[in-house]
Amino acid sequence: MSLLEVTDLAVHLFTNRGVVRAVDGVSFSLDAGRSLGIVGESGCGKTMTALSLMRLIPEPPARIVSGSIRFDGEDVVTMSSPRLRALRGNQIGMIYQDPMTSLNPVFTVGEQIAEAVRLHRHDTRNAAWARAVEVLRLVGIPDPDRVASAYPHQLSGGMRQRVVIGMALACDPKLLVADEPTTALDVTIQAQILELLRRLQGELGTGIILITHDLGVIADLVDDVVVMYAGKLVEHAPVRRLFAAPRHPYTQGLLRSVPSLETREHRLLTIDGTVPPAHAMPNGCRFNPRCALVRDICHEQEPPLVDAGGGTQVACWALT
Amino acid sequence: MNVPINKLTMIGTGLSALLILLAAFSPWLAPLDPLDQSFIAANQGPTAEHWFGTDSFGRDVLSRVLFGGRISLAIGILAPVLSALAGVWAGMLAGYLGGWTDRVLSRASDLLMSFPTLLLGVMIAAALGPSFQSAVIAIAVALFPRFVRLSRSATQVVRREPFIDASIAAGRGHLSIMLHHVLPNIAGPLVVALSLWIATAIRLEAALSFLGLGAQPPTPSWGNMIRDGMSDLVGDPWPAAFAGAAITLAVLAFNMVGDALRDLLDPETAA
Amino acid sequence: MNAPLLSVRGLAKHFPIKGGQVKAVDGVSFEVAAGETVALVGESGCGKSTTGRMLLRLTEPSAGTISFDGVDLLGLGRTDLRRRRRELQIVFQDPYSSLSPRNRVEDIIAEPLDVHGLCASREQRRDRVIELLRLVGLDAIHLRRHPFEFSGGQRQRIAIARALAPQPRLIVADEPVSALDVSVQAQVVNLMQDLQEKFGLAYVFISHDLAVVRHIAHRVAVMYLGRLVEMGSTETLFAAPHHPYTQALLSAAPVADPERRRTRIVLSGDVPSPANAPSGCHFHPRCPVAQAVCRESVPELRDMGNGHMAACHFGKPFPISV
Repeated sequence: MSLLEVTDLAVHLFTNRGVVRAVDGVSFSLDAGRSLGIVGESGCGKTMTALSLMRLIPEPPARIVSGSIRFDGEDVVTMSSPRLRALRGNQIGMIYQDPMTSLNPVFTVGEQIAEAVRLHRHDTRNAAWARAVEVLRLVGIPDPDRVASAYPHQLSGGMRQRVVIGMALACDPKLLVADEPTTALDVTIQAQILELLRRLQGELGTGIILITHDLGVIADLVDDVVVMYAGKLVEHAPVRRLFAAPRHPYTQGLLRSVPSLETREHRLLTIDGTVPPAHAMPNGCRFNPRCALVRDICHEQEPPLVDAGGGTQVACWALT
Repeated sequence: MNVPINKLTMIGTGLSALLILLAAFSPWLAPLDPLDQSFIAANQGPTAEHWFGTDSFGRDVLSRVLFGGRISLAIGILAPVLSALAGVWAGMLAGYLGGWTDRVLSRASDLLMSFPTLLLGVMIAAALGPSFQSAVIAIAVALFPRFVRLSRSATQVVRREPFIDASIAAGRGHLSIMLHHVLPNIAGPLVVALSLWIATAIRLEAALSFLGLGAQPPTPSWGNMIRDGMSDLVGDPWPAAFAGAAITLAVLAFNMVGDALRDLLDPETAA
Repeated sequence: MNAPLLSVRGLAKHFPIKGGQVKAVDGVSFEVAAGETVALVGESGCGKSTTGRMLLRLTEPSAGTISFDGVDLLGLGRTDLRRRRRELQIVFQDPYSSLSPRNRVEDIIAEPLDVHGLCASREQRRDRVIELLRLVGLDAIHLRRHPFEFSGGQRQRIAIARALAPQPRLIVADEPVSALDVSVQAQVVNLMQDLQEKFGLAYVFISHDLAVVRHIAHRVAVMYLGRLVEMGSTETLFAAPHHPYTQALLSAAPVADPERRRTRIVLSGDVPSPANAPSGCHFHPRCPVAQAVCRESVPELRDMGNGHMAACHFGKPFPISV
């Protein structure tokens, strides 16, 4: 059975300027111990999708209007508040982009991790503190006893992100949701954090949902990939397959526009135009104004997600 | 949520404009001469002839409120505007240039700020001798450090924006940058503050006049009308009540104008 | 060889702090030829942005010389400097804050024209702005709009149009595409290359993204904690990096290819703060091949052949295996 099963998820934003379909009919699943990347550009709905998994979306203006999110057999969408609180931070851990703002500046990092532990495990103070030191060691922090007594501002960006990862892992969650975990970090530090996430997944068997705009990070870490565009899931494929044989015109464009470290083309290939504004989405396929393969039907109906072989699912009229 | 706020700001703007117009055209609008005394008609409540009643000298309160508005609003608007003209530039120079310019201007305005506004106003007005001009100067000086402080902190934020660097790179000089880029970007909060401090200045004027430091009797102002009315508040509360109501209305109106201007000046909410 | 357009010698910026000073930039020298793109790369705190700002004297250098077209920029008085600024322009990272939110596009782009009195009439000014808008892929219909009505990529195009307005010969581009989405990033990179070809512009391209640099730069200078550690042609530097830091940086960059998940050189430790930079070679505490000498003496930037420069006591390309 899947650890996480998201079916036909729709999250709408109810704003002054009308309803924005931020996430529109997204389905995917994740088996225990596997990793899934959700990739897309700003405004594609990837962060909203991630926040929905623990019902952390800002309500209002956002609301899950349909679909189900089954975590370990239970539907998060209809879950009661106490049950939800027991889930958050305990069975699902969350890592945010900015390690500075996700830590409270007035408590030591040890206190913060210990508090997270005591919230769910009702350990004694000493046991919780010991656990805090243990997870700090787990995430590769040298001298964890000393660092546990440090305040966030005394640590570097990379160290802080390790602390945040440690805090997310403190209760042995089955799933880790990481929203752009390396975007705010320098390249050499990003490499350390990616290495750490890979090692932890191997050691602990934690399922990972990784949200990022960086195809390099996706290629580096995950097993399966979901590509989102303007609130829609456009392609879902195993990672090797996605990079070797992207099917959706958007995925193809996205991959082509990444400059390579090895070769130098005369010009980068681009996707013409820009993402349409959230409150003025085109009818039919939302990619149609930027698509080279556009036909009449693309303006009229939204393409269904269909099997394209090799484990790839794609939503494109040109491929059906 | 948005609709009632916009309605309120419309009301505020309309009300302020109405009060200013009434005061400006008081010589034509006032039913009687505000200085005409009539001992027979003294201390009357509202009647068909005197809508707001008469005071202890038998003067028509409605006429006095209208004429009083000229003095009160003139001081209440003139003083903060003068104060803003000086204070905004001082604050921009301090915030933009930093260094010793900032230290000198900040210390000076901190010193002024350490006195309560009313006390400072009273001290200056008392030193200059009671008159219209000294009330304007006293209130302007009392508000000056507030404009310096606000404009300085707003300037410091804008100064760090890359578009200022872009403008320096384009070859613009610093004074020109202050005028073209800093001022328009700090104007929003300043104009909002200005209208709020017009409300404050109207109250200050009333307080100074009440203490005998504003416009001198028999010229009516809202403050000295309350002062006169206080002598027989129980027997004839009407003059003080109507002057007080005028002050309250004006303060309320200018506070509401602040919100209206804030929305108007922001290109994002305006669109 | 012709005299370079821009020549920087021993450029330094020291900020005083409590009990000492931070050497944000510490003796940087490089040259940029007309029509050439030189990239400054490095991680946060390496001093690349400060260096870029000093080229325009947006930050005043503590030491060194900057010669532009044979003129010593640091010796210029205020008026002469303002006149010179026509030829040196800058594009910033954040297209949201680099455009004044209250101005309309026409006035934003025309600012350098107004300041230098380059347009005789309103009509001429408008025509020039429309021409600039078309150059960067926008249109006359955008003239009267405010910055908030545009997407990030479009705003960066407006910022580029403004930089182009006074017909500069060199543009300092400080992380110009870092804040943009991948597909938009490629559009802006292409635009910058087209403009370079058309006008013979030189770029100082400041970036932390090695793949973009690989694509756009002719030469690359790598900075670490205020110092240049390696400099050379893009081809050589990417194919055979000499400095261990450059090697680690290249190895750490994520590659969009799952087949090439590799054992990378993962540097241990953090980038130290410039406020307490290590002795000798700043990189020695993280360097996999450091020796005693690295702690004690600062390696000079030396020619490793063909004009490829590296500042390492061990001067050959030694692929580190971990």
